[in-house]
Amino acid sequence: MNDLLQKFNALPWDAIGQWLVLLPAGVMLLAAAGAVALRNLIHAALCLTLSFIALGIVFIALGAEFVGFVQLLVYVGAVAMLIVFAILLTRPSDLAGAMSPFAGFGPVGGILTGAALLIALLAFIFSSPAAKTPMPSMPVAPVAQIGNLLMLDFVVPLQAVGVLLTAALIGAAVLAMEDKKP
Amino acid sequence: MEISRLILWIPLLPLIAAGLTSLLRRGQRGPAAALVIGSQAVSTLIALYAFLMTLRHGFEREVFNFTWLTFGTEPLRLGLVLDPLGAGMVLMVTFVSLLIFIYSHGYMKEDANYTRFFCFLSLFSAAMLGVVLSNSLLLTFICWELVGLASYLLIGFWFHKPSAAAAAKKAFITTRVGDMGFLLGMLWLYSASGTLLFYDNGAGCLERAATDAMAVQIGCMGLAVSNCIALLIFCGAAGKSGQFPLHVWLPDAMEGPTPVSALIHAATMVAAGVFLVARVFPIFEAAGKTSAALVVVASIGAFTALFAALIAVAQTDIKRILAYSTVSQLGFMMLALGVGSVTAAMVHLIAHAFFKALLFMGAGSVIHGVHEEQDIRNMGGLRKYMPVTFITYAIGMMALCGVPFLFSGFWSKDEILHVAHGWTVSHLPFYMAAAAAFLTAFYMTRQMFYVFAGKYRGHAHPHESPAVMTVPLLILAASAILLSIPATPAWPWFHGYHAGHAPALDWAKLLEHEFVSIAGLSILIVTLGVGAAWLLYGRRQLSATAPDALESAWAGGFKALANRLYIDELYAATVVAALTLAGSLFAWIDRRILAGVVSAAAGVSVASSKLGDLFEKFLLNLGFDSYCGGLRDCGNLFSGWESGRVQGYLRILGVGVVVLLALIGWLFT
Amino acid sequence: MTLQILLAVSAVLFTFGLVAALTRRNSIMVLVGIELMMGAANLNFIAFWRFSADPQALTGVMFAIFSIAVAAAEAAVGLAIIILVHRRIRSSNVDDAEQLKG
Repeated sequence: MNDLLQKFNALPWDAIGQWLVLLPAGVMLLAAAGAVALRNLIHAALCLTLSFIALGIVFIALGAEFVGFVQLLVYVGAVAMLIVFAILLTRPSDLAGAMSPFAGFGPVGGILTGAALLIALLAFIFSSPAAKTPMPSMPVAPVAQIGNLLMLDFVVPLQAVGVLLTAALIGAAVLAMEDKKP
Repeated sequence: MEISRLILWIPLLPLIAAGLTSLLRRGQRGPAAALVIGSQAVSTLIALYAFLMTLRHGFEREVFNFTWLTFGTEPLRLGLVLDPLGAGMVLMVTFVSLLIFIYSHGYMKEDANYTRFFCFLSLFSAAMLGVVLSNSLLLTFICWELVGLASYLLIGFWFHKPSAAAAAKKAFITTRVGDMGFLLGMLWLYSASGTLLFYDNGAGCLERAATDAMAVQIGCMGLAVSNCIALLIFCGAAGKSGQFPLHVWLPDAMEGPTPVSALIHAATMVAAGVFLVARVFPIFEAAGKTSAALVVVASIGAFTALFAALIAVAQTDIKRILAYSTVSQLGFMMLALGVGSVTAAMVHLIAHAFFKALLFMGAGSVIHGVHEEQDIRNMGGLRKYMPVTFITYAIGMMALCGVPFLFSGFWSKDEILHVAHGWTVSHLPFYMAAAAAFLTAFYMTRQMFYVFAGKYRGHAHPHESPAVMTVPLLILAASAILLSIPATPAWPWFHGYHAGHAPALDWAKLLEHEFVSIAGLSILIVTLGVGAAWLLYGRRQLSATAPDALESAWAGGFKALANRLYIDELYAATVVAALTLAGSLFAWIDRRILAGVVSAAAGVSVASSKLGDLFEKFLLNLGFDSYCGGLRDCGNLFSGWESGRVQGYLRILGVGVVVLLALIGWLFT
Repeated sequence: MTLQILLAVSAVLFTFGLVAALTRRNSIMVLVGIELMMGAANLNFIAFWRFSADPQALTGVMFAIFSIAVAAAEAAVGLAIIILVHRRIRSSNVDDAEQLKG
C-alpha cells in the first residue's frame, strides 16, 4: 500500500495537475454543446447530466472538493433528474423531432448574440493583466472549516437559503397541484 | 281727558273703522255700515263737545304737539290744534258726513260693492278731519294727499265705466299739479321758518315771529318770501277747490255716485282748499292786508266765480249744473279770503256745505226717482211725484241764490259782497261777484223749471225716494234755514266767535247805510235773475228736443258755454299732447336705444360664449383629442413591438449586455 | 494553467448556455440553457478563489455553495411552472406562450 501511495505522491503532479483540470473541462464543453444542439430532448438532458458531472470533477480538481460533491449531489442528482422528469411529463403531442428544435426566430440571431458576447468576454479576459497571475499552490478547503463558516459567519445566508428552499418546495408543490374542479 | 288729547279721536275713529271695514267681505254690509256710521256718529259727538269747549270765555286755542321722527338732532314734529276756525269746520264736516253716510245706505242699497264704498267713505272722512285738525303743514299735506286718494277711489268707484276711470284719473292728476306748488311752498316755509308747526308757543310758523321775518325777506320776482310761500300754497288750494285754471276735474267728478258728489265735491274736500288758505292766512297777510298774494287770491276767486257761473247757464246735466255752481261758490269764498275777511269766507263755506250737500242729495233723490236719468231735458213736473224732494230742493236753491232773510246763503253771500265792496285795491271783483250772483239765481231757477215744473217729459215712472234718503234731506234743509240766524250781522256771532269775544245782538246794525245798500243790491240781483229765468223758461212749455231759449237767442255763445268754453279741449291739445309726446319719445328711447344697448350687451355675451364654444370645440377638444390620439398611436406602436415571446426579450438583453461590456471596455481601458 | 484559461472555459460554457436559452423551441431547453449559464458562473467563482490572494477565507467556496442551492430551488420552481403552463396551453413551445403580445 505504501508503495502505491509513494508512487502516487511521486507522480509529477504539477505537470499532470493541469490536465486534470483541462480534460474534464473539455468533456464538459462538448457535452454542453450536445445539450444545446441535440434534437432529441432526452439525449439533450443526458448530455446535460454528463456536463454537470464533468463540471463537478473540475471543481474537485481545482481543490474545492466540497463544492464538487455538492455539484454532483444537487445538480446531477436533483436538477438533471428533474429536467428528465419534466421532459417526460410534458411530452409533445406530435412526434418528437418532427419540428425544428429552434424557436420561431431562428437560430441565427441567438448564435450571433452568443458569438458577440463570447468575443467581448474573451477580449476582456485576455487583455486583463490581473488574469495573467501564476497558479498558486493547492489550497486546502477542509469541510470542518466550511461548516464553521456556514454556522458562524454565513449563518444568515444559510437560514435565508433554508427559507428560500422551503418556499420553493411549497411553491412548486402548489403550482404543480392538480386543479380541483368544483 | 284733556281736550287736546280728545280731538285725536275725531279723525282716528273713522280711520280705524276704514281699516276694519277693508277686512270685511263683500256681503257683510251690516257690519260695514255699523262700523262706519257708528264711528262717524261718535266723532260727531266728540266734535260737538270740542266745539262747546271752544265757546268758553277766553278760549284761544288748544295745541297738542308730538315728535314723529328724529333726523339726527332735528326732530320732526306733528300736532293737532283746536281753535275757533277749526272747531266750527270740524263740527260741520262730521255732521254733514254723518248725514251723507246715512243717505248712502239707502242710495247704494242695490250696489254690489257696498262694503268697499263705505270703507272708502270712512277713509275720506278720517283724512278730511285730519286736514282740519292738523297743527302742522306736513300733517296737513299728508292728510291732503289722502283726501285726494280717497276722492280718486270714490270718483272712480264704478271703475268699469271708462268715463268714471278717466274722471278719477283727471281729478287726481289735476289736483296733483296744484299739490306740486303746495309741496314747494311747504319746503320753502320749512327752510324760512325752521318749523312746520302752526302754533308752538310762539315758535310756530304762523306766529308773529316767523311771519314778520318772512315778510321782510325778499324771495323771487321781487316778492316777499311770505308772498311767494303763500302763492305756492295757494296753488294746492286752487287745485283742490277747483279754481281757474285747475277747475277742469270738478265737473267730470260727477261720474261718481251722488253721495260722493255731495260729500266730497260740495261740502268737504273742495272746501279744504278754502280752509287751507284760511288756516295759513297769517302768511298771506304777513306782508300787509293787501299783499300781492291776497290780490292774486281775490282775482282768481272773482274770475272763477263769474266764469263757472257762465258755463253753468248752458249745462243740461243736473249734477253738472251743481258742479259748476260749486266752482262758482268756491270762487266767492276765495274772493272773500283775498279781500281779507276770513270770517266771511268761513261763514259762506259752512252755509254752502249744508245747502250744497242738500242740493246734491236732492239731485240724487231725483235721479233715483226717475231711474238713473240725469238729463234735465228729460225730466219735468217732478214736484207732483216727489214732493218732499221738491220742497227740500227748493229750500236749497233759495239758499244758494241768496233769497233774502230766511236763508243762510243770503247772509253769507251778502257779507262777501260787503267786504268786496270795501276792498281798497279795486272794485272789479265786486262787480264780477255781483254778476256771478245774478247768474247763480238765473241758472238755478232755470234748473228748477226744467226739473220740477211743467209736464213730465221722460219715459220712466217717477216715484218718491225712501225715508232713509229723504230724512237727511229734511235735516239739511232745516239747517240751511237755521244757520241764517248766527249769520246775520244783527247778531255777528261768527265774527265774534272767530275774534274771540262774545257777540251782542244789535238790531241797529241791520239798518246801517252800508248794509242796507249792499243788501238792497243783492236782493235786486236775485230778483232780476229769477225774473229773467222765469221769463225764458217758466212761461213756455219746455220740451226735450227743442233748443234752449238762450240757444235760440245767441246760438254761438250758448254753444261755447255748453262746451265749457273749450278749456278741456285746450288742455288736451297743449298740456296733454305735450306730455304724451314726451312720453312717446321716452318710450321710444327706452325701447330702441336702451333696450338696444341691453340687447347689444346680451348679444356680446352670447357671441363671446359662442366663440368660447367654438374655441373649446376646435382648439381644445380637437387639440386634446389629437394629442390623445397621438399618445394612443405611440402606445400602439410600442406595444406592437412586444412579441410576447421570451426569447426575443432575451436576445435584446444579450445584445444590451454586449453593448454594455463594450462600453465598459472602451471607457476603462 | 493560468486563470485566463479557466475564465475562457467558463465564458464558452456561458455562451453555450446563452445560445440554448435564446434559440431552443422547447421551454425546458431554455431552462437547460439557464442551468448551464449558472454552472459557468460557479466555475468562475471557484476559478477566482483558486487564484485568489487568500484562499483560506473560502469566500469563493461559500459563494458557490449558495449559488448551487439557489439554482436548484429556481430549477424546481421553473419546472413546476413549465408543467403548469403545459397543462394550460397543451404545448411546451415557447412560441405558444405569447399572451403578452401587444
